[in-house]
Amino acid sequence: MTTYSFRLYVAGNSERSHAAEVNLRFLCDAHLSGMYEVEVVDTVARPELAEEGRILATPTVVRLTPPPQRRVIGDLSDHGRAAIALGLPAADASPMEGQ
Amino acid sequence: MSAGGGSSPGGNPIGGSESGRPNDVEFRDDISQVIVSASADGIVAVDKEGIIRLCNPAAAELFARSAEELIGTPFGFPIAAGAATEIDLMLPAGGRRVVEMRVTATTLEGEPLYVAALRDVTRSRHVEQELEAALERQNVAVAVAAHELHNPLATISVLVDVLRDRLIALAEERRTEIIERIADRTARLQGLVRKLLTASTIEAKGASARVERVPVLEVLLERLGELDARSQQVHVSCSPHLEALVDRREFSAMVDNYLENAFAYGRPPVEVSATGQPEWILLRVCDRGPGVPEAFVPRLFERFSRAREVDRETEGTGLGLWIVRSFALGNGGDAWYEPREGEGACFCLRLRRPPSPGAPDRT
Repeated sequence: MTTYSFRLYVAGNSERSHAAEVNLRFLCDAHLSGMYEVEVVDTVARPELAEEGRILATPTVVRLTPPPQRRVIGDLSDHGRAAIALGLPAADASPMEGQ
Repeated sequence: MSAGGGSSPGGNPIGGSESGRPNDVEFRDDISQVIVSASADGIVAVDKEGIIRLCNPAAAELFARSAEELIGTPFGFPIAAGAATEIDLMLPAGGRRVVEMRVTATTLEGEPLYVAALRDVTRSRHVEQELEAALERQNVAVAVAAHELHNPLATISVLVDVLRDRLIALAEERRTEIIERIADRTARLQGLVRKLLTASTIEAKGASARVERVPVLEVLLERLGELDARSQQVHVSCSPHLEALVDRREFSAMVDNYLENAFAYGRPPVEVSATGQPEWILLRVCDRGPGVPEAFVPRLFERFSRAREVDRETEGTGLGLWIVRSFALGNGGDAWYEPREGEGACFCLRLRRPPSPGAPDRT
């Protein structure tokens, strides 16, 4: 099974940052059966990484692998849309369906 | 929802690789007008790859980046749970801006287009916090006023009832004593009301600071004259030539509050000393009380602050020292606390000294 790799960009230790990480891990556990890696980047502590990743807003999650790269903005609390936008298995539809 | 108004270009209208073609420019202009006229919020439209294809000037302002810089940059799929969600925009200079994001999806010439409307909430949140703080202060002010005014009023009410009661035969001496007590309580009430009014004026307008040359000793003696018999327990040390550059009325209020504080929380004798320094005058009001608990010192000059150790029966609004510091700062000086050597507390006040190179006595 393909291993998915994500990088989550957050800004400091805020409620929003925490919610995004919790939601991302929940989605991964639900869809990827443990076959995933999540790296959390605090853009306040590591602004150069945000610059390098051309991050315009936080929270942003970037699916690094498998290609193609995908980005989602928000705290991912809408699990259905977030799963589709991140291209998680069994989540094939338009990410904005219903918005 | 469909946003396909205006002239209809051929091919893929939102394909980033085709930017620069005349029909693309025309297309963008048309759509931009639609988007901008629809809302004053920052608008960012991204394609199915999450790349910014359009943005309005408000969005460029929010991101602190030009539209040229933003268009073609990967933003990502915006997802808002519910009506709106908050995100932080990363500003190029290193700061952040909190915005509320609403997302709508549309199709444009058969291609999906996702539109994120961004509204700056940093400022509104700041205003909200200021309002909350102001309301909190008002609530505290009302509670303190009600508490501090209630007790003397209740005492006056009881004393008046005693005087009115014809069944109680009072000796003339006793009647005089009761009237004296009523007068005393009334004077205290007037003092409290004055202090509350002063505090609300500072809150609304700040210190007025109509600065003039004020003879320090003159003001000290004038304020001691208002202190009744307690003035005998005050020792003053001040050169008659010493002048401060200060609003006279506010200087009087500072001295009154320091003296009142010394008698309310400290113990006599109270030493008031004023000395001149090259550019400042330093006034110290020291008492022989227990001093201020170390843990309370940082909050000593805050509004409505009173140390836990203070007897609950001790009257006080917790406004006096805050008034002193507010006036001191407003007059270009400062106010602070120092523990007195041995025992007691010293409350210090620094005020500006007028330039007088030819003055015979600078101490």
